[in-house]
Amino acid sequence: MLDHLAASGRRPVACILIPHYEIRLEVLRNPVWEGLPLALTDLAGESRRRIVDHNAEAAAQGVRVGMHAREIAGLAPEVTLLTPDPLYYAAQSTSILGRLYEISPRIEAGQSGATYIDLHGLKRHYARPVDACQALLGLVDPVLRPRIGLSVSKFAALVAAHRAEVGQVRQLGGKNLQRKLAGCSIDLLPVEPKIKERLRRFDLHTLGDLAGLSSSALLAQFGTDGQRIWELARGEDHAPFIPTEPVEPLIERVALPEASALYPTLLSGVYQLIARLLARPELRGRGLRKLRLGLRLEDQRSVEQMIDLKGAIRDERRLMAILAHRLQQIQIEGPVDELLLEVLEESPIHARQQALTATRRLREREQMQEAVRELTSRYGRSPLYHVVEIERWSSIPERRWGLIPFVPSTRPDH
Amino acid sequence: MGPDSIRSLNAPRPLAVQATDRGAPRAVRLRGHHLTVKRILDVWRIDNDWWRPQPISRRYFLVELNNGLLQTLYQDLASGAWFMQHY
Repeated sequence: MLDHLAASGRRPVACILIPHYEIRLEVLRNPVWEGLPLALTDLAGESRRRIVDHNAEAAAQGVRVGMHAREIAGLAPEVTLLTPDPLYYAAQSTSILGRLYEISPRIEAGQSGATYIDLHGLKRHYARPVDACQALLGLVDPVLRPRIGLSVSKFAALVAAHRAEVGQVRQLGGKNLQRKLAGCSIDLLPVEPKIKERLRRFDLHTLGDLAGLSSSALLAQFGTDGQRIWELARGEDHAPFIPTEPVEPLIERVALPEASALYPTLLSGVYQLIARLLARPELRGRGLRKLRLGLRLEDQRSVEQMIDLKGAIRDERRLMAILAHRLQQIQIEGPVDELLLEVLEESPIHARQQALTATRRLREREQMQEAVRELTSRYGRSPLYHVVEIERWSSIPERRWGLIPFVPSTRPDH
Repeated sequence: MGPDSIRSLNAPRPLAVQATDRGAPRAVRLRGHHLTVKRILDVWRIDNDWWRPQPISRRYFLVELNNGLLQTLYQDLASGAWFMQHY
C-alpha cells in the first residue's frame, strides 16, 4: 500500500478525522459524560432548538439530527442535551492546529472535524508517511477519538479516515482508486445536502453508482457540482490544498466584574475591547475587516457573532457603532461574564490627510502613549484607568461604576 | 481579577464588627482603632440575584461612630461576614 502511494508520484495527504467533533470536545471538558447519550443542539431560541449532532449512545435511544430538542425530553429523557459553546470549540481547534504544525507546515482545516495535512517533504523526519501519521495521532487527545486516513488526495484521505478505527491509520493507495472508492456512500461527498438528497432520489447511493454514469449526465443535472462529484467518484480530486496560515490570533478579552446581561454593561466591555485591539502594534496602520464578537455566559455556554465590515475600518467610533448594533442582535440567554473580540481579517488602510489642527492632538496622544509605555514597563501594567459607568442604577454599589485600563485613543480627532 | 478585567469601583472591604444579639453593629475595628457605634442612622436590606447560584442578600447600616465618623457597613446574610462600603 505504501509503495502504491510512493509509486503514484502524488503527494501524500493525511486526514485527521474526529467524528462528532463538538460532542467529543464537550466530553474532553467533562469526562463524566464519557459513554453517556449526548445530543448537541443549535443556537436557536429555547423553544425552537433542534438537534444538530448526537453520539451513538443517543442514536440508540432514538435521537436523530433535525429533531426538536423539546421532543427529546419525552422520547429519551436520559439523553443530555448540550448547548453549543462556539468560543470553546474555536479555542480548542486553534490549539489542535497549533500542535499539528509541529509535524507539517501545510495544514488545511476542513469541515465536520476533518483536518488535512500535506505530508510531502517530510522524508527527512519520517521514513514513511504512515510514521508521520502516527506522530500526528499522538498530538491529539485520545478522548477526542481521532483516526487518520492516508491517501493521495484530500477526498480519498477523508474516505480512508472514515474507514479507520479509532486511534488507527487507514491507507488508501493511489492505484485503482476508483475501485476502492466504489462502495463509499455519497454522504461523504463535499456537496450540499440537497444534492445528496436528489442523488438518492435517482437511486444513486454509492460513488460506484456515480462513476458508472457519464459526466455529461451529472453535469446536466447538477452543473459544476455534478462534474466535481463525478471526478471524485472516479478518484480524481482536483481541489487545491489551501494551507491555513499559522497566525497568532488577534484576540482581546475582558472579564466583567459581575456577570451581567445588561446592554450598557456589555457595551462598556465592547468599548474596551475595541480600544485595546486598535492599540495593538500588529494593527498599527491597519484596518479591521472581519471580526468575531464572543460572549461567554456564566454557565459556560457562549454565543458569538461574525461581523463582516465594509472595507478596512480603523475609526473607533464607527467600530463602536457597528458593534453596538450587532450586540443588540445577539440573543443572550443568561448573564455574561466575559467578552472577547477577535480580528479574523485585517488589511492596510489608506492614509488620509490630517487637518493641521490635529497635529497638536496627535503629538499629545503620542506623548500619552509613551507615558503609558513607560509606566507599563516600570510596574508591569499601566496604573492608569478610565472610570466607566456600568449599571448606575444598580442597588449593589460595586456594580455601578468600573475601572478599565486606560488605552490612549487612536482616533485622530480625540 | 486579572489585568483584562473591568475592575469594580467601590468594592466592599472586609470589616471586623462586634454585633448585638439582634444583629446590629455595636463596635467596629477600623484602621487599627476600636470604635463603638454611637447610633444607627438608617437600616436597609438588599436582596438581588435570587435566581442565580450565589444570590445577594445584605443588610446595610448607616452608623455614626464614637469619633463622629459616618460609615456605611453591611452584613452578608448568607455568610454572616461584615463589610464596609460607601453607598
